[in-house]
Amino acid sequence: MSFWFTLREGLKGFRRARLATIITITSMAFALLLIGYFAVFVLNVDALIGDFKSRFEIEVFLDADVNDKIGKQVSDQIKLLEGVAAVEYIDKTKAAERFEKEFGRSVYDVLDSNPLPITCIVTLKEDFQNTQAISQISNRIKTFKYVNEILYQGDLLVLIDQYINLVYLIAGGIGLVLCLIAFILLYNTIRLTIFARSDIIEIMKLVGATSKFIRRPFVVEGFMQGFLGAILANIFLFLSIKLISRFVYPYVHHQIEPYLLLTIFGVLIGFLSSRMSVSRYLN
Amino acid sequence: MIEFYNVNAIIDGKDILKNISFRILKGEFAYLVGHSGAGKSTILRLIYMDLMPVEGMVIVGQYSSAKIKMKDIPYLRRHVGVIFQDFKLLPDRNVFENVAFAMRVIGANSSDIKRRVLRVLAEVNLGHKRNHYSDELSGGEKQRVAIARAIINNPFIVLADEPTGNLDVTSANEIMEILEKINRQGTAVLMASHNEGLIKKYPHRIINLKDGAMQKT
Repeated sequence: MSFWFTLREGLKGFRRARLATIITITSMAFALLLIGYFAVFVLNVDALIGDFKSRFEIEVFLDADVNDKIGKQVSDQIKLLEGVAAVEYIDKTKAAERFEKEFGRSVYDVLDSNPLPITCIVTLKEDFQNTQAISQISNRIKTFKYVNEILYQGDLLVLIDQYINLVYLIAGGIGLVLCLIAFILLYNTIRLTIFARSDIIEIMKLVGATSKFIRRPFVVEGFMQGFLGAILANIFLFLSIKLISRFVYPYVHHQIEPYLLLTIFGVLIGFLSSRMSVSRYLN
Repeated sequence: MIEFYNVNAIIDGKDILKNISFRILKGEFAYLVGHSGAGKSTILRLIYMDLMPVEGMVIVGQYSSAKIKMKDIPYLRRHVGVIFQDFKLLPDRNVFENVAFAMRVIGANSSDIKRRVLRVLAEVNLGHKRNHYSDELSGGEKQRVAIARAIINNPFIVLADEPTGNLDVTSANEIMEILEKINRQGTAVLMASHNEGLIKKYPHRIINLKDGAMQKT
């Protein structure tokens, strides 16, 4: 069978059923756009959580009488722990500067000497930014000599860790339902357009066309409809994100993934819907 | 070439054909005659295996209804040309494309298609209308396009289901002349009709049907 004949017939299908094609592509674009918005929302939530976690710190306060040499030794010891990304060493002078910056007054205005202890600000690697790993690392640091106190925002992290899986589960469920709705909607739209052209299928069968031969132009057509629907959805999505970034919320994460997702999903829906619809009609 | 052995057929739970047996020989012309609902179209459908017998067997060339697989039916149909009362032309394609379509389906190449379609259109006196669309043609011309499409792949039999039913007398005679010509060239023709005038004018063997059963003529 000629590839070009299949392709030409598939593209001719657009011209033969202009209105049905426009309706299918538009429905496809809106269904995909809904999925696109959802994907962007989930990615932004994920990015926000990731951002919060990446800024998560453990503050390790050493004993007040620890000198700079010992402080650096403790800092180096912490650096060697598994999961530690970096340690910021804050000596007593720097601690006083931070105090002044934070409270607007010098520590020496209040006291005769600097009582602020040497502090190590510990940041963790991405895989260790969870309550269990943080608890293990802080417990390990606690055992180090000269460590007086450890502080971190544990409650918030526990809250995030507790609900993050549930959030992702719900998001996945909603995403799946949206995909299913889009698929059913488009499957039925494409099925109607194929049904409207049952005469051509009947004639093809009469003159001895194989099922494969009959199916191919419709599948090409469905594929193209899916692709064009996805392109349209991508354009709308891009413009919407630009508008939201400009007028509503300037921190929207703009990534390539939702566009790729829509394109792949659109093409897949178009391909599968047309294949299933025409096969069902042929059978 | 075509053999029916004690064929029974049911459509929507209703007995349409009862114990039908007959043969159509190579190059024969035969009429299927009977009133509306007698089972003429059902016999044609059984031949191009759009319908399978519930009992008995239909043999079409090398294919048997008892053994044929679904995937082989398209290949059987390439040896059988079918013409209908309502022409079944594709309205969005011109005459040339309607006829060429039957060749494209079997994977013929473009130069063969062009050569053969022009020759067959000349045979049915439609060469000059090859670029016309079906809504620009008369009933007789539409039926001639359908005949051209039916014979384009050199079938061994042409099945005609009331091909003159929608035509005036002159056009009906033209169609009959073409079918006669096709038959003289060696293609068998089995035509369902209840047009007694035409049957008398172009006499051939008659298979008479009444309420799904064969009648002696």
